[in-house]
Amino acid sequence: MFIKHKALLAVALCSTMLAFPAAAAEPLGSKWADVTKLPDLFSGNWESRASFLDTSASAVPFTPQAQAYIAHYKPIADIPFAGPGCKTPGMPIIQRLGSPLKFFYEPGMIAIYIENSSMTRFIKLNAKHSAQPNPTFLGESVGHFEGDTLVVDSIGFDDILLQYGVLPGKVTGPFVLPPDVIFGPHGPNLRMVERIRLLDPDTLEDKLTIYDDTVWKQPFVSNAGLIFKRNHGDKGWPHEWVCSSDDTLTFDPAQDKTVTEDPAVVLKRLQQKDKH
Amino acid sequence: MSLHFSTRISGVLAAVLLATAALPASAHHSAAPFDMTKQVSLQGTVEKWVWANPHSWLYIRVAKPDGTQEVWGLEAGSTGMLARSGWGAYDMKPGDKVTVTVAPERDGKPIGLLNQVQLSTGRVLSAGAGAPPPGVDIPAGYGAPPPGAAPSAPPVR
Repeated sequence: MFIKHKALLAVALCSTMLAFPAAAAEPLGSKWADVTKLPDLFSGNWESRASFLDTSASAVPFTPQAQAYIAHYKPIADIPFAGPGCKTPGMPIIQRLGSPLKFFYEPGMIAIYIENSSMTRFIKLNAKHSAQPNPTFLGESVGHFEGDTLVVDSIGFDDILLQYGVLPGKVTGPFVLPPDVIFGPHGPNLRMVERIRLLDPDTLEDKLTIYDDTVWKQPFVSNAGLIFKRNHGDKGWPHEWVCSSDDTLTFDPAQDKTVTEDPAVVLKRLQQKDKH
Repeated sequence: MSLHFSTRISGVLAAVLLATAALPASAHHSAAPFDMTKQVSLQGTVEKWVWANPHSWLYIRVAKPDGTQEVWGLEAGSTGMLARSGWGAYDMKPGDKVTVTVAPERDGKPIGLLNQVQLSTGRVLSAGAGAPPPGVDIPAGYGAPPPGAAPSAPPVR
């Protein structure tokens, strides 16, 4: 009698277990232990070796709307970031302005500290976008790993500085500066997809594709490699970056020119400030 | 103290300056206000070393040939980039004698992009605003001209 009951109990337990499928393996980036399986994006920091702006002479055709805009486009001497208050250009330009990027990990998130502006991107791993993300200069980012490549999908951009392409005949070298390119407004469905991977232990590549059906007829695939080199040790330590200096030389977007002030006047002002 | 202008184009310097105009010097604005083809050497006395972002600034008092004095404002890199290159907020204080190398502002104002500072102790602070950190490759086409070739100026805006 006792044995019969035990057998019945075992059958019941087995049936219960069979009723529940085995838990699906959690995707990479879900646990603390996963950090040992991820490519080492996290040691030190990453310094851009690319031009400030995209050198891609994109062959992607513009929409009629963008063509009409470009026909009347007047190049700018510099970007608003160079003006007082250092208004961020947002993604993707802010990542390539010279100061390094620092990656951090916790289960379900990779964060990228962008030293040049002290802003941080938060990439939600293995997640979906919000139904209607609030606009931000870095966008709302979700990501996942495809093998050793971190794929980051970003939407929900604010009034960022979007580069449409380069002006004809302007790109003669490896660097492109603001007067060489076309900046313009983006559409409501602007989306950026980055594929981030290590080319070797100290070289990181970020391949960017931009989707905006108000600007391009097809996705804009940047053919300019965005390459970063790893800084180790003290050089790999992040620093804060708060726009605070009382510059002698400031770009004025309203006048589209750099305005200079007599250094003697600036110095006097600074010294008076020190006395208070 | 003296003020020495050199308008001779240094291929290497121009290359370095141009490289940094678009490379690691923590961009805030482009290098357009500065004449990267000129190298200016100045000797002066530190009035103020402003350790700040987006740019640090060094203000020095320089004696002009006519006996009068002039305050120069010299733009350096962001604090993080300077720190990575060995610079610090307490490297210079008012009264220190320095020799600096700068790319001057185009309109002849006493403003420049700071490349190197030599302190009275002999210590040299370089790789600031106008020079890349050690290990940064100068891109192809921007290096020094081959021996015997006339130095060529990089494109200037």
